Amino acid sequence: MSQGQLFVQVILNGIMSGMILMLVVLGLTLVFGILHIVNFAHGEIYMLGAYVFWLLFGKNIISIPGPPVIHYILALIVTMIIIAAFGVLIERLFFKSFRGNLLPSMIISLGIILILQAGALIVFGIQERSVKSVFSGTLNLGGTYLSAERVAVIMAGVTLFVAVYLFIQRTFTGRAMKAVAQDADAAALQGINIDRICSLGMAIGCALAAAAGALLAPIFTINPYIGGEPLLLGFAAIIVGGLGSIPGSIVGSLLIGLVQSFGSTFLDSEAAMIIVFGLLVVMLVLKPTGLWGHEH
Amino acid sequence: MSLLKVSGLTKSFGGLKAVNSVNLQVDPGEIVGLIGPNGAGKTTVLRLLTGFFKPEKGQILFNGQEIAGLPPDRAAKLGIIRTFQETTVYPQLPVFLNITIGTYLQTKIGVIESLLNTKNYREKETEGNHSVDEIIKLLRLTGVVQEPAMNLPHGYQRRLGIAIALACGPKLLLLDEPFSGMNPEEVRLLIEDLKIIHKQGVALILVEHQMKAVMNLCDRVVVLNFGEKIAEGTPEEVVNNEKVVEAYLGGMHNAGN
Amino acid sequence: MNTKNRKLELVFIMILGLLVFIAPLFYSDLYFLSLMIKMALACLITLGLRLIFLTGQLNMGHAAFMGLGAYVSALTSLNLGLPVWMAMLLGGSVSALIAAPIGFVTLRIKGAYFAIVSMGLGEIIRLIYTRWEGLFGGASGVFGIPAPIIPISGAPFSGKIHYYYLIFFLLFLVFLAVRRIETSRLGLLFKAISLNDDLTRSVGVNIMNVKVISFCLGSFIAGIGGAYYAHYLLFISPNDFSFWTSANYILYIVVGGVGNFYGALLGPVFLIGLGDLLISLREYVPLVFGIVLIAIMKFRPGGLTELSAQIWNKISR
Repeated sequence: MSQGQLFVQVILNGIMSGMILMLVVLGLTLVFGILHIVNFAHGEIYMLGAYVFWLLFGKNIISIPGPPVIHYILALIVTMIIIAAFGVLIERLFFKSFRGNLLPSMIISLGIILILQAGALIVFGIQERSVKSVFSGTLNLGGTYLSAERVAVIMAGVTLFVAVYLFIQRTFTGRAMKAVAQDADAAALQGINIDRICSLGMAIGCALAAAAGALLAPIFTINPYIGGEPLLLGFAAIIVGGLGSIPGSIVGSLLIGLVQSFGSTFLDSEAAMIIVFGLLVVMLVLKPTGLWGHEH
Repeated sequence: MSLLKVSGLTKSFGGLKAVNSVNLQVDPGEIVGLIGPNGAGKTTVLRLLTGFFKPEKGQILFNGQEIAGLPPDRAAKLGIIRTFQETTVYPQLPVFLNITIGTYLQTKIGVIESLLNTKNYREKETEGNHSVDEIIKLLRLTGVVQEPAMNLPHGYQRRLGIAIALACGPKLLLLDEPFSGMNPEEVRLLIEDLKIIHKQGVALILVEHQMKAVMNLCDRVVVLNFGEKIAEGTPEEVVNNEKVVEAYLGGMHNAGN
Repeated sequence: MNTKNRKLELVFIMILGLLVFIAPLFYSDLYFLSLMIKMALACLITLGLRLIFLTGQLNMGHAAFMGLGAYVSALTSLNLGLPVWMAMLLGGSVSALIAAPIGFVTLRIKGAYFAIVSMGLGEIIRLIYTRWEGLFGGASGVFGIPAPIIPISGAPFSGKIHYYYLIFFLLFLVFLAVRRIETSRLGLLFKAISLNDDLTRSVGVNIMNVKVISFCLGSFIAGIGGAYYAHYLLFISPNDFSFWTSANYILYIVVGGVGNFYGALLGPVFLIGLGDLLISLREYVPLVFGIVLIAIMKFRPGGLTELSAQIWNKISR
């Protein structure tokens, strides 16, 4: 493959990683912004999304007639709904009394990680699972060849992102979410049901993480421990971009996705991670609240 | 020589001048009142004096030394302590521990000697405990020594805040509305407490709305409005000053309370 | 704390110490010794974490400093021929030394943000161990680490019993030191910072300096613990000091109880004991730990120390 081709592939991979990370980070940011909690178990939600998708699509436990693409999209949507409901359950059971308390919510989420990881290990076993890809082959874009799968993932990611963005900006519920994020007491006085908005925020956040896991399922294998890396990278992106900021999430995620891609290809994966975290340190020294962050 | 000499103090927040070219002077042992309507910039002035904010322009000389922009702990080491409007105390700790923390500067305890429980450390500790006992007696907190600060009534908490500040051995104490929310009996007691501190030779800058306290305690009063000094003089002079009356929008805040 | 309680505590500690000292006479099986060593080491490192937590900073990268101590001690004793006790001391010192600049940069950040940042930092340091093969041996780690030497006889440690007494000796020292700091004026300063840092600054305390002191002391302890770990297992690799290792110590201190000194001891003993009881249900252990943690957070946030205090009160009525 020519140098140019390689370059394009690396950028594509970087954008894809960044896209996936963006979904994870957007989910985290939503939960943080609306419920004012930090959910370390977000990575495990991602992992569960991959497994549920595998159950629905890879293992075909429910057979749906029609072309595989329809099956794929349906499985994706159902996965998101299932995990969203699961997220609401977790929120109501564990996080509700800790809303606004960052440190305790972190610690509780550590407990949730343990339960989910062990649960996945017990239920699904340690074997690597895989899902067959629906999109095969490559697309020819002006002379360069792009993996169809990766392009599909990017497109799906962008669609989800835009959908959520429009939801928050344009709908009444979305604006209610912004109100709760800014000042929950004031929002309550205006008649907004805080509990419902918080649950919705958690639902969307988890749905995004689940989507990220599901989208990557055909590309990488699934095991109970895949939640660790998106979590760490997600937090790196948040530290760089700024906690609670959406533009920061976008920039941070893309930056880290690209650095990871370039690093892994031209150096090795550890060096890539060191550079990523090195960026973190630089950001901490120069501006601890991140590029777009604000002190709480 | 004056203890504190402030000239041309200026500070803006986002284009709005919170404090505009304010001049102020405090002599050793003086009690100076700083009054003005809400938003006049009094708290900002205090924050500039203790180093929580850096001034845009102006000079703050303490004992001839420039202290503008010094962080709060450095200001404290030089002898300027401030009591806040809220968070003046450690709510979860008992009264005597609250005051003990205040003695940090006086006792100057180091890490190694703490660890090894040296003779030096124990002497300093005893000395510190002495100071704490004295202050507890001075400010009439003997009855609540073991009580967690958060259980104390409002007035006691204020007194505790002043006790902590006193434990630092300050030359100048900055008080940010210590009388707010107090009933007449509490006001009377606090005025007595501040007079006791005054007798110890500590100078005070008192930011306050409570006019009875201001009239009773202050040697001089400085009036701010919209970040600028509009009057200065004895309490009687200032009360009768036209500009001051106008500034309070046709009536004095809590006049005669 | 009044003198009567202090005396009771002293007697209690001495009895416990005596029991620990003579226990191997009755239980000399390797299994018991291994378990006790594991518990003691965890208590030691958790005490270090507690010291840092006293100033209100939850360090989620604590294992990284444990690792630093481990690597420094392992490499200097292996490659430079340093006697093990010296290497261990060096390990702890290097941890403390590296902690200082890191502390100055990161300790400005408070609460939850610091926790997130410390997590990231822990990862960076672990990645450095993995990547820097020349120095740290990369992912395959360092092996063939020399065992400590028995004083006087000069022979290397040959049995678990030697390690048993060493770790409890170290734990004893660390216990005394941390207890001492916590009850001293320095400890009061730590607590003052965690309770109200603005006020503490106003009374003349340089918060950063004091926070860094607590951070360095806690990291020194972690380093000593890591060094012991290295000379005990005789093999270390970067994954021994991951985020999950740090999270374990957080687990210990939270379940034990963050508000009480003895929480740092109760937590590790309880959880490691529990893990041992359930050893046959290997995969279920993290699940149980997670449930315990969540139960504590929801129902008894003061941890096991609060729980036992309540039980004690009920009994003595």
